[in-house]
Amino acid sequence: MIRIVTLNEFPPEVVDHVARRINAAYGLGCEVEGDADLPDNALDSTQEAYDGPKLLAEVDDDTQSYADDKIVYLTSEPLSAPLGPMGKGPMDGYALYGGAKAVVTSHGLGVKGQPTLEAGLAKRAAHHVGHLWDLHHCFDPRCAMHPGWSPGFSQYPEVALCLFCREKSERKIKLGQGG
Amino acid sequence: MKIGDGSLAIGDRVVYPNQGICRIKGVETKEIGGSKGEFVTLSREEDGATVMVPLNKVMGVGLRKVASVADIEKVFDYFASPGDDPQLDWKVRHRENADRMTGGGLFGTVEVLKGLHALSRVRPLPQKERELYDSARHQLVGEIAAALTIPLATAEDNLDFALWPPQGMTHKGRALEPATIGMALKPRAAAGDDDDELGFGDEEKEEKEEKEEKEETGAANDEDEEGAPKAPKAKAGAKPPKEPKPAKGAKAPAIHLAPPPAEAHEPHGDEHHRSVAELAVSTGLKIKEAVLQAAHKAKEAVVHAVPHAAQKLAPHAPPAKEAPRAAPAHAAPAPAAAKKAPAPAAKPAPKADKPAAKADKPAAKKAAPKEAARPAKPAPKAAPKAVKPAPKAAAAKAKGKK
Repeated sequence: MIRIVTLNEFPPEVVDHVARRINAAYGLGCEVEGDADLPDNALDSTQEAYDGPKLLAEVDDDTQSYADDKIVYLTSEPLSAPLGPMGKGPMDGYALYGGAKAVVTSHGLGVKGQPTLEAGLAKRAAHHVGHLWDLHHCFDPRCAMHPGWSPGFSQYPEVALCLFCREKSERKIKLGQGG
Repeated sequence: MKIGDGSLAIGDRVVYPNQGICRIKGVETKEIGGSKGEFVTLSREEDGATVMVPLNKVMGVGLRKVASVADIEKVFDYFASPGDDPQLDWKVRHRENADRMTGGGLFGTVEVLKGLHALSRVRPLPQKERELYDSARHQLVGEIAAALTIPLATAEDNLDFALWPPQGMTHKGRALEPATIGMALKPRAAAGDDDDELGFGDEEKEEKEEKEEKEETGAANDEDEEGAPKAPKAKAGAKPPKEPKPAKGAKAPAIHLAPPPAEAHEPHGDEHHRSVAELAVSTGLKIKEAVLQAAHKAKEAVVHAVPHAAQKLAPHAPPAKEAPRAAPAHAAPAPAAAKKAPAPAAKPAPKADKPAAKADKPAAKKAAPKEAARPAKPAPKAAPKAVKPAPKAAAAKAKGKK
């Protein structure tokens, strides 16, 4: 089961759309669990964005999850990640690889050259849910696992996985469910 | 305690090729199959699985320490640099990638990933290479994260900032060219169907060709080895897959009697194949020449055989209404050819005549009853004259009389 928790206010139809698209992409139940507060101490050093790993560690919500459940937090705030060897790059979400929690932001969606809020958020959410099942980035621009900053991601707004990613996610889901 | 070449110690984080990042837990003595041995126990970080490697094989399996920060920097330099054109020959690519991956080195994995990434921009990867690409990526992301102590997500994002640079990305002061849209695969439903797009085309074609070659050589060997004894067997089962079709209608005798010039080079069953092969072996001519020669002989034989066959068919000739069916368009040249060369019918090539006549006889015999049987439907009395009554029918008649 995939549970969606909102950290900011979103129109209900947008959240509903995200839930339906994730359900269609992974073939798993997807529920809108409710909302939670953004942890204040999760802001990064610039105080302009929320640090992804910190946010997931600090977020406090009452969502009950079972062994194979995944929780996706939706926010409209900008996110940041620890600096890597390539410096600072765009960030549309953060997921604990092979873990249970991911946070996705709608920041930057709906502007020129970017998909709409509904479509973009659904695709970003599906992308980071994929990371929760150890899916890596995919070179197919139509696949939801294609890197979010690549032009292919906005070019194909439909939420779909390529054959390889689909099969891999199915295997992982089966393993998570105990065979 | 020394592990491997002495560079590894208990508690170290190591890379186990194709397994991922592990931590050395210790060295244990285990009795397996009645013999005692020392094993290095590793714990895989990804899922906590325990991996045991014989102490004397630690270096052989490619176990090594996690790369240093300096090495990871080199990796990113390499990723951010413009790459060579991808290797398009799948055989060379497959061999090189397999060698790099089994070697277990960091830069081997890096080269595999970059090479396959470059290839994926040109054409979709075949399934096996797609798996290899994912495996190399998984291993590298794990190692980068372990070496730089950053989360896996950050490691992968950084890896792709170098491979698919976003707008405005720089590396060591140098602006990277932003990524363009890659090659889109076909929608999911059709993705599995198109083998050529997935790159299986070349492999499968080559495999098929190899198989065909093997079959051909095998068949040729069989013919060479057991040519004579196999001949009757081939005769018995000499009904080639396409033979029964013409035999159903009246076309069969026409094809045998007067093959159109265009089909003269085409084989007409196993006998023809065998005779061609024998010719090639005995005379040492090339197959093409042999085929031409055989076709020429067959043509002559057919020309000579026409009058005989026509005579044989004459009593069983169908009624006038059925005539157009029995003699289709491409059979028309037969009488013409017979008219053109009626004189040398018996004498000039008796040897060539015999096999041709033999070959034609059964066909004519088989075809004749059917031809006779067809018109016999409206007039059943005529049929028994053309075809000898079946014994069962005779028995039934006898019983009826009794």
